[in-house]
Amino acid sequence: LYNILICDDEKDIVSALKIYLNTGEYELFTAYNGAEAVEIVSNNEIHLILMDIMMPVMDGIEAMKEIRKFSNTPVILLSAKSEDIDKISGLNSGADDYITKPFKPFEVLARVKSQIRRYMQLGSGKPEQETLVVGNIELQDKGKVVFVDGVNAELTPIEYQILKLLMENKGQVFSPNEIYEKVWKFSPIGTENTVAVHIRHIREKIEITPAEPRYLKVVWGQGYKIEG
Amino acid sequence: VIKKLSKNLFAKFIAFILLVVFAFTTLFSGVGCLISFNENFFTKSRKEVTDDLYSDISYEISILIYNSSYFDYNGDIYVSYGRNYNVTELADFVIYNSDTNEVLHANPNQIGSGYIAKYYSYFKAYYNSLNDDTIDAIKIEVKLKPLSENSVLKLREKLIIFYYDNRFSNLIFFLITFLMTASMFAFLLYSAGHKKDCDNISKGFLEKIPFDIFTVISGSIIVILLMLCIGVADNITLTIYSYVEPLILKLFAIFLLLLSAGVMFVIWSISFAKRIKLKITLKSCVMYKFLSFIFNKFKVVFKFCLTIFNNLKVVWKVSIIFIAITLFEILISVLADELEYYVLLSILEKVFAFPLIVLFCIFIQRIKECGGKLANGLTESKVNTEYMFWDFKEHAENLNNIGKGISLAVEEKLKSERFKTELITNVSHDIKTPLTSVINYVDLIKKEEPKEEKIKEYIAILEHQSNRLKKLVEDLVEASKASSGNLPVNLLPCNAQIALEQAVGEYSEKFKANNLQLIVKKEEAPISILVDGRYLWRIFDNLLNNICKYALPDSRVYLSLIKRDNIAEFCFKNISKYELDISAEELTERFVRSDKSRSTEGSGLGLSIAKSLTELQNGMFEIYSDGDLFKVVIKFNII
Repeated sequence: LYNILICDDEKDIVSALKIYLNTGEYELFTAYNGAEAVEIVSNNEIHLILMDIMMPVMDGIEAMKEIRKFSNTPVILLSAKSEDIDKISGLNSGADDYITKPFKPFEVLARVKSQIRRYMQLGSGKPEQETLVVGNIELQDKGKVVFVDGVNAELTPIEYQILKLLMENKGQVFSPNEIYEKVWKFSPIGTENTVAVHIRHIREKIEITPAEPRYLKVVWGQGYKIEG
Repeated sequence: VIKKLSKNLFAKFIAFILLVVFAFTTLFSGVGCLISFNENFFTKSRKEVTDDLYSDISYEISILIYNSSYFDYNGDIYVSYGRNYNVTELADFVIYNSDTNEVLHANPNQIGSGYIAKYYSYFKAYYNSLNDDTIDAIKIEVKLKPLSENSVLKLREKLIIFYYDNRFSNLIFFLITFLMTASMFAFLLYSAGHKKDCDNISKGFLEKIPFDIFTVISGSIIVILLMLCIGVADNITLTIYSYVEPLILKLFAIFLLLLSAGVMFVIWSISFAKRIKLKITLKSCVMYKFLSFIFNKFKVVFKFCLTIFNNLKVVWKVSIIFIAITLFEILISVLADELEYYVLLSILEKVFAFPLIVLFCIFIQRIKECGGKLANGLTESKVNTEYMFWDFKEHAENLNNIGKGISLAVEEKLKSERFKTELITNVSHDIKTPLTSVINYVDLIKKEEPKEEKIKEYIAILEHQSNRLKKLVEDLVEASKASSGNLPVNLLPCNAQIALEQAVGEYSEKFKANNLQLIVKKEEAPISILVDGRYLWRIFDNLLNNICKYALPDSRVYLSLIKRDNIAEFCFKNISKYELDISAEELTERFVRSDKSRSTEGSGLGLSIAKSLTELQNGMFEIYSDGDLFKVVIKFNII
């Protein structure tokens, strides 16, 4: 049983989240401002914090900084601020994930699950040989399978090849033509947008929100890369 | 004390009397001093002085004798006895040949005895030239009787002796009396205008007379008096003929004349002092009044001319100046009869005209520079109006005001844009929070799996509309930011083919789902453009999304990338599902959509955002519609 703290000054949102997260896997704590959140975290063992940014008494960023002084519990920020600059500053101040309001319930659930698994397995996981790990993605070369948060993503052989190429060269940008040459082993003439379509499919399988990918990123006008 | 005295009329009167007295004593002792220096009293003994006096007297008498003597043909000298016997001082006289000392004439009958002095005077003798036996010069020996009392000569002697006896004390006396005179005069000047119980300088009767007229009148009176005085003094001779009685009368007349001239002078001086103290010396002049009147009239006329000139149009001003110069040149050519003068004057004219022309050019240059800056958007720039005049100044000030106006307007615009963006962002934050609850609870109701079909239908509508609202809010913020340029743009080189390929890849599934056939044409050679990848994707995303929403199902969609000169052109073409009842321009306006598509999803901001983002990356965004054909062209410079 994992302990999750939900913190938002909007009571309706807190209770909605409580309903969604009440699956029996989690014990739920609630707070309605940053100060309460800090107090609860300091008095209880919390495994994950869902926190709003704009709150009275003490805002989310400040509360998170307080919490970071004594705990490295994962924090997912929930905020109506959707600008890039807001996301960047939130993540830089120590958040592990950033969800913009209005959010979709299943997205929050998926991210919560992902963060908890990562937090709990941190340091304990012994990756097998010939296993590539990026974030919550685990690629096992032996069985040619990919697990995302421990669940088989069921990739096709071509998709598996593409993901393997990118994961082997984490951070490196591959143009569609390069990917085609390396995976299909043919010269890329008249291939149109084959690679782009496959990438899209992979993203739909491994990302929680394909439109805003966390791992498989598009570098527009250049190519694709894995980050994590 | 002096201040108190200066207000006392009696003191002033006393001072005036004293001034007169001192002035005359100064005059008297001054004459003494003059005589002392003239006759060398300081080196002579008393005897020598009296001898000189007697010698002078005998000389005068000998002149008389010489004038009344004549020579006959034999060279014999005769004296006509007349006036010389009336000279009471004459005791006896003898005429000698000055060369031979031979007596030429002796008084036939003794006319006097007991002479006190014997003096000789030499004269060149002129007589008949026929006579060979000429006498070059004659000597006249004059013997004097003691001077009789009451005679003028006795008076003269007494005076000389008095001056001689008191020659040193007289000098000191003169100095003292002169100083006293000067101080009395100074006091009168100082006290001029001061009155009892009054601190200010009071204006008297004389000060009402204009100063120059007053000066002329009093000056001429003084001059006349002095001339009369000189006339009288000329008549005075302290000689052998003079009688005492008329002399005293004359002296008295001189005294009166001098006195009145002096008084006149003192009065003038006092009045002058008063005027200076009142500071009306110049102003009370008739001449001054006259001149200032003339000058004022002239000034008014000048001002009038200047006003007229200033209100003339530039053409007229220039014409007048030109005509003036031409007239001047004609005048020169008429006046200067010699060529050299003409050339000289012409050069002079040019020397004066050149700096003026240069000045005009500088003004024009200044105005032109500022105008150029304003045209380039430097609204802060100002024309330096120093030394400018006429139309230049007016024009420069207008330019400055334009600049001010533009910068104010720009500032206002920027401020309002910023404010608008801020407002939209803040409002959108406030909308998003309740919206989150709405979306979540709709979802929760859905999870409850209501039995009734109608409820299910309603929930579907709620879900759809709340999602639409969410998209709308997000687009709103983005649109306002993109259009106001409030987005950080990070331009990097980007391969246009790959970008298009990637975008198409993202959308291929969706196109298939909408039964749209996608035809992509692109250049083979890599095309590199300078863009911000994220924003380029947002543009493609919006356009492709629009196509999916509004393209006629089962139709073909054409995408192309063409290189035209130095420009990369992305072209998106599709057949619209609905009739396009609005113009292409209007489509990019915020919130504008074809009316019939209002009810469908989308915020209507898609094209507006795409356009703003393209422009933010220095690209061009064009929309064409022809019947149902809808076409978007995006152009970027190739690097």
